[in-house]
Amino acid sequence: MIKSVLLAIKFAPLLLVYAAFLVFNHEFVNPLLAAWWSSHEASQGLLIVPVAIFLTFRQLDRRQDFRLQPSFASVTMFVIAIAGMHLGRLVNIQLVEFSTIVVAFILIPLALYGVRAQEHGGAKESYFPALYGLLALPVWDFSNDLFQLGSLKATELLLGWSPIPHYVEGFRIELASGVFVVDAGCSGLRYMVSAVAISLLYAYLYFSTLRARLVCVGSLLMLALLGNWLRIILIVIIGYSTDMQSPLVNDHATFGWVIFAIMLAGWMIFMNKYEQPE
Amino acid sequence: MGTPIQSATGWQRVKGWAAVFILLSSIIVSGPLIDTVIKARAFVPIADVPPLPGYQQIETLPPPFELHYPGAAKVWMYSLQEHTGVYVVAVFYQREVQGSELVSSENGFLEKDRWRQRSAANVLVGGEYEFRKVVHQAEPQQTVNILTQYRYASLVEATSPVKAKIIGLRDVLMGSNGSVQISILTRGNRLGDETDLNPAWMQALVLKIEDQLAPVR
Repeated sequence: MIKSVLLAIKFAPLLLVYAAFLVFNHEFVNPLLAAWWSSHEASQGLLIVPVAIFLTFRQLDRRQDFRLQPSFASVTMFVIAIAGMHLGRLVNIQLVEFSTIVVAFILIPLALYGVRAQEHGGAKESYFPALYGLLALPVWDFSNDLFQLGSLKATELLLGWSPIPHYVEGFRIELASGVFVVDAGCSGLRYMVSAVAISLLYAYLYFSTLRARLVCVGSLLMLALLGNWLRIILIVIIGYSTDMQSPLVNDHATFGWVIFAIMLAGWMIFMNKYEQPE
Repeated sequence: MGTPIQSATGWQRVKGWAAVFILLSSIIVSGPLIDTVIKARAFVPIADVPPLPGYQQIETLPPPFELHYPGAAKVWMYSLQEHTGVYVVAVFYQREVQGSELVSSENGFLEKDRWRQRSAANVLVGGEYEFRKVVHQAEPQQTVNILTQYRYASLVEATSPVKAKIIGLRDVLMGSNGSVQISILTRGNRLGDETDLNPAWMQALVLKIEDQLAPVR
């Protein structure tokens, strides 16, 4: 209890600005939270921002000579982001509005305390906590078409090796017993975004060399991609073998998360063994 | 060896609290400032649909067209007397809010699930005015053409929705009285070309619209 009070006093300016941001901008923040809550592709924002804030506090708490040490470049960017937020609302461009909220929010600690890139009365600090928060930007949807096309091509290739008779036209895969559509939700983007967020965090927390971090991030991205393709091909096979009667044919979103969770568990076991001694 | 730890000087403290002050000020002041300067601005009401030579006023659009522009400040609808089956619609917006705005994916003249965009290209209407012509198709082989142009108080016109948004922002900041989308609607199987509209008629319509959009002083 006393420790919490001391921490609150220590971080009082930061908490004050965070509180003011949430209270005075609730008309902007509430729609963003609602969008994260209801979106499959962007819901990671609900976890990414708190994790970024936690990492920021953890980094700041390690400073031995803790005090306000503003970065006026970040202060300027914050003011620009706040202006952008209001201008985005004025012209009703939600992407601008949401993006500037995220940017402004993660700039607050940078503006007040800066980042000590060189060792100075404590450990060398990193921009990672702030940059990690940028993963919550609502920009992932732009890559959805690419992943959707990739999923279609991979499914087409894998089906070509199978004995299942099929015909592909556009994003439709026609079997004798029915039709599957590789639609926007089949792109696998949601698993990709989760994989990026988890692997970057893991690499930051547990690895120190660039090579290890690249292996960590690259391997999970690859697994997320392959997992989605596996999900689609399995659904097609299940549909074919059950004459489209399996409930998975119509409702397979959870099935995808089950595959992702199994792959993630395997990846974590492998990464645990791969961790190098610090 | 690291740099020796030093306590904050008075100047560093001032700088620190100045940053807190700037952040808090921009958070607290920006919203009310925008409300006061821009959102509270008075708008001159757009006039009801005016009579224009060559145009016949209509109350509703014939199928398959149906007007879906929620929150529009005013809508002017005409059929052209000289070109049977050609309809001209001017949709005005003022004081836009989310879901009630000039450029929105929700706006349109067709049932969204039924119609697919087949082609799009910029064309000149009345020999002078640039419109974006989009050909829409529905099964079985039904085709309609929708030509669109956005106009602003700054007398700037646009055919691209992105450019329209940017001009819209500038106009809002400069004291606009709103914005308008002019659309020309035709069925694809009609004879003639909707781009071949009488230049004098187009000019008359545009001048009437520009009168309505004159900036708020």
